[in-house]
Amino acid sequence: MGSMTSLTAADGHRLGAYVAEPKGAPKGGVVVIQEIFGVNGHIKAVTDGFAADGYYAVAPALFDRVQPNVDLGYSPDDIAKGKDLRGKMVWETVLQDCAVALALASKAGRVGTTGYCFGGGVTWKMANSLPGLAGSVGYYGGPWGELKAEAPKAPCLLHFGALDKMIPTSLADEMKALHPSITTHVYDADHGFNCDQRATYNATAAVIARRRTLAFFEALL
Amino acid sequence: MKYLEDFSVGQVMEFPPRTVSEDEIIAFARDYDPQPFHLDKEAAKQSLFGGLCASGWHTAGMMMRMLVDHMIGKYASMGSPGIDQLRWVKPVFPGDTLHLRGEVLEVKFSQSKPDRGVITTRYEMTNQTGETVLTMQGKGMYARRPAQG
Amino acid sequence: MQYFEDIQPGAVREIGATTLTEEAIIAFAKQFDPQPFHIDPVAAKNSAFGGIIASGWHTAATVMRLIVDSAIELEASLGSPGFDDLAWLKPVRPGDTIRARMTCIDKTPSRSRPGIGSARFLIETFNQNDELVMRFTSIGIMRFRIPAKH
Repeated sequence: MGSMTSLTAADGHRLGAYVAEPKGAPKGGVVVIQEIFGVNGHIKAVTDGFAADGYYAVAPALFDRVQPNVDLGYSPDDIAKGKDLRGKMVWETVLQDCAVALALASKAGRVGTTGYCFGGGVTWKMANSLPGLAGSVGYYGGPWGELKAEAPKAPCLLHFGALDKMIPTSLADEMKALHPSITTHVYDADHGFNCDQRATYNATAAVIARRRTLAFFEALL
Repeated sequence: MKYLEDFSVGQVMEFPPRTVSEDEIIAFARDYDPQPFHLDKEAAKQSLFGGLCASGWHTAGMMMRMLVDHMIGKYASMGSPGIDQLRWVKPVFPGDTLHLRGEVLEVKFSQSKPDRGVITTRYEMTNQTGETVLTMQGKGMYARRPAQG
Repeated sequence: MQYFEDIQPGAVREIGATTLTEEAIIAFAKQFDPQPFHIDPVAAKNSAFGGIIASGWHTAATVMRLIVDSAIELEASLGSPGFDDLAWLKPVRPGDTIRARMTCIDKTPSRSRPGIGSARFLIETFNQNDELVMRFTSIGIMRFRIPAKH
């Protein structure tokens, strides 16, 4: 179980971050990027999970720029609130917040990042814009408009759900065609398949995707 | 200490049962057979097995432990040249109690090496409802009784 | 073992290698095959094997891990009904590096269950001196490729 800490971004903004430490020496660092629901119970559990697997894991509260301590569930009301908050995010400051989380995690060695939904777009952008990232993983991120064309500078692994109505499976093929070095996997599952608090949770896809994510980090960190 | 000569064709062996726990199923699967239906209860529910179940190699390992504890360990074992056939017939779930029975099919004295021989045994493992979960026909090599005097 | 349609009889795949340490050998054997030549260095030295050797079941389980890591499409695999003709040909000793090779023998669609098939694979395991240490014929059951839902 981790705890909340406070980080200061390059422009002086103070943001919360959930940090979970492994028992024993860390294998590296992992930055966990939230969905549109803030650093909630699910994201904390994901962060704890990486610590349990030996990584120093940091989940920055990206919404603190707009509203501190956002912790939403997955009801339609929460979805509406989350979309609203996401709409207020600005890439420049999102990346500053990610950069300070990355700096903290890099104390543990090489750093990877994994993001979910909105976070999947963020980790893709991080791979293009932030130096010092050893690998980037994104779950059901997109569709991204111009982000698609931005070539990543770190190895990328993208997980998509074939049943995701928001993100067509053609995006996986498109991304792979645009950037042949990335790895994509499409699962027989819906958007949010990794989150056990959502109706779309698909345990088989989640277990397999996690295994692939861990193998990716094992190789790169 | 028992030797090759102490086996006889048709000899039947029954072994004390043992119960399988969820923790040990997951621990084995993590190391040796990390497929979702051996690792995660929810994923396993989605699978054709219907629930978390042991890796077949784990079941084989548990069977081997029963064999060593109650039979092989009492004999002058020289290892095994191999297994003719093994079938995983039904899944093994947490809480299942495994029963094992073996029957010696053949005792062969080595022509080339007079100090040893190989037995062939057919095993059947059943669960607490009497369903067969595993069958195996395997070989074991044993030393012959040393000459007296 | 990929999806059924992807499997090619005759295809050969190298499925990786791993080194067995004495610690791991003894730990596995204590749990699953506690014969003296697998768990007791002194007794093993005095045995016909001349030193600790890995339980054949440990070698097999280790190869299973290699198969799951590199040769199975996890979404496709429906497990295995068993194997045939397993031979433990040479002892595996602490520090040995074993590598495995998988050759597809044949594949058969299920007559009773649509969208499912089985395939047989020859699994050969070699040590660092390219000696064959273990061989068996594995049977795998797998799905046909999941149709895209979009």
